[in-house]
Amino acid sequence: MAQIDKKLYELTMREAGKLLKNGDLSPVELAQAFFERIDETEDRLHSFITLLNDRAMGEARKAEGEIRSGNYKGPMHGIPIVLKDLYDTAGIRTTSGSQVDFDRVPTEDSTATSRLAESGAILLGKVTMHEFALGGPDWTTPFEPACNPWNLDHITGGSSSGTASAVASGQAMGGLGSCTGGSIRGPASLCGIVGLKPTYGRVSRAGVVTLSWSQDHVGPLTYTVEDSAYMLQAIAGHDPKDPTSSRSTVPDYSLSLREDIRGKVFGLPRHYFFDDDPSVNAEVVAVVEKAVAELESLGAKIEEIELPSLDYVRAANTIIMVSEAFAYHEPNLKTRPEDFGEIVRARFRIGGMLSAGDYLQAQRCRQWSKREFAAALQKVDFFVTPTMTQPAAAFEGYDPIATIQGRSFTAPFNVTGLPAISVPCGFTQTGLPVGMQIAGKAFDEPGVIQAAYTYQQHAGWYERRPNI
Amino acid sequence: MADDNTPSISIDEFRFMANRAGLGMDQAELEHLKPIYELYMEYTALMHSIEFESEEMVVEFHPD
Repeated sequence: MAQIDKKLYELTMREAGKLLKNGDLSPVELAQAFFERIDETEDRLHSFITLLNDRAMGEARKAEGEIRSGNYKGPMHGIPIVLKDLYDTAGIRTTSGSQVDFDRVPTEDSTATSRLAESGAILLGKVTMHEFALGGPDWTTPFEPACNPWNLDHITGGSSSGTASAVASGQAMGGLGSCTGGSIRGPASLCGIVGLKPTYGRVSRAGVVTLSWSQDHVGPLTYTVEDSAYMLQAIAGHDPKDPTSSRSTVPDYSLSLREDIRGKVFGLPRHYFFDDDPSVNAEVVAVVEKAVAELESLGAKIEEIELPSLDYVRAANTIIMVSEAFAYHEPNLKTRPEDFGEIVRARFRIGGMLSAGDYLQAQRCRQWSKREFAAALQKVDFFVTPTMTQPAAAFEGYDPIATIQGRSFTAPFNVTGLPAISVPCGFTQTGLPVGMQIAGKAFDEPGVIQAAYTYQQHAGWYERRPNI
Repeated sequence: MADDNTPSISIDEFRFMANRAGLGMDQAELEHLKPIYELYMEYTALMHSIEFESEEMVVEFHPD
């Protein structure tokens, strides 16, 4: 048997996968270690809405048998994961973090749920989230907000709050979030882990509760870039149940796990992401500037670029989001508004008061931005930016409504649908994580993964874990 | 919440819009929501300030 020199809950998927494949670690032993970790930390983190101990241990025993009999399925086989509680799971309550769906039990799995099950992943449970994937934390919903494992008095960011707290604290090796304006990359950045939002259409949205049809994305949060690549591989690909699902071929993302960015050109839109602005934290920008210099030291070329539509994109993202959300939630908003939390009820109602003209102008802005970004990506390979404008805020005094204003560094890539990843790139003086965002051409997840992987291997931030 | 530069709307106009949307809010709810809506008005004003080309369309219809 191989010697395992770290705690099982601190293994990455790649490390655990090698041990599982060789029979040096049992999926049962691994799942047990994660449930023990959940037991010792959950009272402080509040990551979970539903724990699936018996079901998960049954899946782990099944995986153990399959691997023993020579049927190892690949890097997700036997890996303990979680799902944001808006992924439909047949026979398992799926609440979307809301009283509205408090007792909702789907009869079918979402496509992403079933693809992860087919890959052999072990579902530990369903995790908390900002209600209907928008705005929070909100104490007027039925579930306590998740806490940031790096500082329990601080928010995780959202809306994939429980996925981020669970992965960052070692309660799970990875999990799925969903992202309409930054809900994968944001909490990943604030919790010191990796978050990957693929190209719109790369991963099926079927069976994932909608916030905004045209901007919702499905993607993983993990400790490392390679682990996000493994999860993406398991869930990517065409799905006839999702009319926006792409038919383009899914590449082998493991081929991108190579350390080489020599000669690659990273576009730096300094005017929006790095210059002074009241909504942007200077310390975050300084940490990311240092990381950009490290990319250059690894052979990348950094070129400053101008993207004038950035000044409008956050507005377009917000208007499209709440308009589509109102259309989806209108029946419940009218018949049982009291079952929504205060924040979501307010923002969804506003969606009903915007005009068709507002929505169409926002969509026209989106077309402009999409074309502008595509033109820029003819000259550069990637965009590099801070992921978030701020480090994780303290719960005390935090006003989620105030965050409607100011810049968003993540929303531009929801509006344009381009792939974007957040990779840890350092810490503030007070020990809060900072993430760097790398975005690329449509369906160039391989390039984005390789760029982030190269940086990660050089910088090594993934080796740090919160002390909880 | 709103500062001097934030666009504003009267409570009567706001009530009309809420009723038109079928939201049926009482006075307290309207008064709570109005300043938040005014934040969104900054965004809608921004969208309407962009000078698009006349053929800058959103939806292209292909009859096939």
